[in-house]
Amino acid sequence: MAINKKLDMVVAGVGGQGTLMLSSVVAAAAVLAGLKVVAGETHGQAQRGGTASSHVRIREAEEVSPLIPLGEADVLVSLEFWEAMRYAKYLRKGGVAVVATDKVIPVTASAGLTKYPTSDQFREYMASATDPEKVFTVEASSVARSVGEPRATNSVLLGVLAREVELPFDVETLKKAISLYVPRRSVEANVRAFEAGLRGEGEVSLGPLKVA
Amino acid sequence: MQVASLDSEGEGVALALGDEAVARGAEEAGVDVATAYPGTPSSEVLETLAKHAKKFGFHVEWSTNEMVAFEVAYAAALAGKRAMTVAKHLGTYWMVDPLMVSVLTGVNAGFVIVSADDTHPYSSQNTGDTRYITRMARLPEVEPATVQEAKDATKWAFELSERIGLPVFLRLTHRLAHARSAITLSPLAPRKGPATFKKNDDKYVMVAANVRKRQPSFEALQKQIAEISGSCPFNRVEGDKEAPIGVVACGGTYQFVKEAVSKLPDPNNAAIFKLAMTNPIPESALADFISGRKLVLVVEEVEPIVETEIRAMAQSHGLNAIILGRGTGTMPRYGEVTVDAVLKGMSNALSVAASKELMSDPPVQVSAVKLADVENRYPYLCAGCPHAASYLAIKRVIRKHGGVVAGDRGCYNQGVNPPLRALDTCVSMGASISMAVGFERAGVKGAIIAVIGDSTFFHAGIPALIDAVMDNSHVVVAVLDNRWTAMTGHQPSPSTGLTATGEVAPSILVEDVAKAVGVKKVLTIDPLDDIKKSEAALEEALAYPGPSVVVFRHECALQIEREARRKGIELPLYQVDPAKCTGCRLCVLETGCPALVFDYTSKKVVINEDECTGCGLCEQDCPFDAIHLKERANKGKRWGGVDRCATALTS
Repeated sequence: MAINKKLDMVVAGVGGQGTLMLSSVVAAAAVLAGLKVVAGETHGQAQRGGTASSHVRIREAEEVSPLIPLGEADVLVSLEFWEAMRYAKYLRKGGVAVVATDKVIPVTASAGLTKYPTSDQFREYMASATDPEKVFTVEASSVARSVGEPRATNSVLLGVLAREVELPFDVETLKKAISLYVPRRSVEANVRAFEAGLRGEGEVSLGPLKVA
Repeated sequence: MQVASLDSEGEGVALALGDEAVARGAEEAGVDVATAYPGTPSSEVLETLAKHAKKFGFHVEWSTNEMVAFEVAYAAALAGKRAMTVAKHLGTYWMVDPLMVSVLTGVNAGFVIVSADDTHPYSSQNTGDTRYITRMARLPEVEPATVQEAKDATKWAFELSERIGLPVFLRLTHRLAHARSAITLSPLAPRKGPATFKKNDDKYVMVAANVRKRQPSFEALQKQIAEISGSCPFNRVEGDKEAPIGVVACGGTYQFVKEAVSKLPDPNNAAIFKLAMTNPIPESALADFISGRKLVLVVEEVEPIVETEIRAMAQSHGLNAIILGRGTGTMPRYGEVTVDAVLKGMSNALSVAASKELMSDPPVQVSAVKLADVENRYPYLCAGCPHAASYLAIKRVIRKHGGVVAGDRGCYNQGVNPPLRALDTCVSMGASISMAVGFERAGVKGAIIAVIGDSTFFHAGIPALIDAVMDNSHVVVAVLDNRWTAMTGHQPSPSTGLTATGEVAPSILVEDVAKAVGVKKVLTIDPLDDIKKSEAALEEALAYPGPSVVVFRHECALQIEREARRKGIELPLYQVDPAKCTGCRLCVLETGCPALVFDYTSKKVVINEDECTGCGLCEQDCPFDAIHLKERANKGKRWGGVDRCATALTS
């Protein structure tokens, strides 16, 4: 079977969650596999709890722009529940969303000035972006804790991604890329987190979507 | 394939940000002196150089401000050393004074000025286009299109600078500065020999008479630069000579233009001029490109500068193509250049051409997303941020006396976001103090408080403080000193006591500077110690009938957290007693702490233990005594005595 050498992926999260680490790992895997890759990162205020995102674009030989046009991403990986909604506009119909159920509640929501979305709102919104059965929700941080590295949520999501999407490189290449980017002392834990994601640990159903 | 490390001395393929590629380009070009003041999206250039400086043996410094950074690097280039200075667009504005003189003296070794323009913007007070400055200075400017080209163009800029004996600009836009891609590493070039400054007062002492002497040679260079622009190796034409549409893609917009053209109903209808040398523009090459085409769309970031110049050039060459871009409103006048924006511009341009009956109007598909907007997520002050505590005291004083809080540039800007809303202005580096003086002189009633960080104070606050002293202005200057330039990623500030490469340097105290310039009322407070003491200090400062300085000093919470993690120290943790919590949310509203989460089921506040760093501000703020330290090994020891700054200084 011919492997699809093209991947357009949006990585989303809140500053400090490891959005850039996740996109760097995927970019490194592409380089290891001899593919062309560009990742467009949005830094800036991300460190202070703002929204953080990165666009990773992989091609066999051609160089593309560092931003995915709206409605064209094959995959959205979100380290945070609400942030998945913010970047869903990039997904193409039929695109896959891998979303951590972890919630970073903004101060404004605790202060009663804004509202954090409910699971129902999440489901409905995501269904307007892609097919509901292509949205995978994962309790990534509890899986990460169970392998002994609470900060390895991004590796858990990478595992889910590797299972649900035909990536342009193999699982071993992705594991090697993880070892290049995470601190040496937590490489093993991250690989365990990756494998747990690959096995489908922590995957939760948010219940059937209410379709009108 | 293998992924090489960016500090390899030899060849290989490495993953790099645009900024990192520029740093590598400078290293491969044999840079000897590199300077900068941090600013998004430029900071990673010097950060990368600082990491490699010891290994490769060149000088790197975080300068006090961008003008100082420019002058340090410029003098090195006068002394025959390859030099580079790096800034974001706002920092480039700071360099303009010496820059405009440097064009007359010229340089004796390659001198490259990197300006990373925050074009959308993501972290700036405005959008930036340094290409106006290169026109004012009449200096060459090159804008790379890809990460690999960012490295190659940096090396080329050094060579060009040396060939013509003038500084050369390299402009990056936010999108390229923070794009990550694979680059091919080359070995590092040998650096220049010992520094030699050959005295020549006609050339280097720019009194008016010498300026007049230097003008002819500068003018003569302009002709040479124009010729070089035509042969810049990063300019190229793609597509059919007969294509009716010509798109001029400036710098980093090229990748977006190429992708947009590939989505046209017939991509062969458009040819692309990839323009890397954006000052001066290569006139005859562009005239060739435009000649015979009906429609030209110019795509550039921020201002319609190249568009205007191409229109003038077309007129002087007798070319009658319709030339459109941002200036004509064909491309969106503001906002980032994306594939969608280029397609929209193409669609608009074609309808203009059709209305003039020059071309038929083939449809261009512009993607339309129907999803509803998602509410904004505001950035906030981190859990344990000492600035949150300082703002709490400042807000209480303002509530009592009325008045104005004039802000400045740094992390403490997040104090404007809800629920804190603690700031009234934010304009430019150092403006908090001078604007406070202005408000006070204008007769604004109440407490006039300037809020400025330590790094910003040293960057631009000192002259404004002297102004306040000279004028005996009744303003309170609150210096939020967290010991680092935290906003841009914790570069050392003059108060840190470290150099860019980690050597111990004198730690300059804000109090010493304030006293030295004649401030008579100078107080120091730990904002996380006792909120009442902070308020009392502000009241005492306010009661003084002249300028006063209150230094709120506590190290950045992120640094303390990192240090604790590194040392395996458990930071203290707070908890909410649900029996006492009334759910009033005062703690959330007043501290803005992200570790305080309101549980909508129990209608009470709970503390997110992953976030809490144990600063104890919420405990002080709660009127119902509902928040207390959680029993742990190191109970009662707030912050556990962790000080990353001190560790860095002693290790």
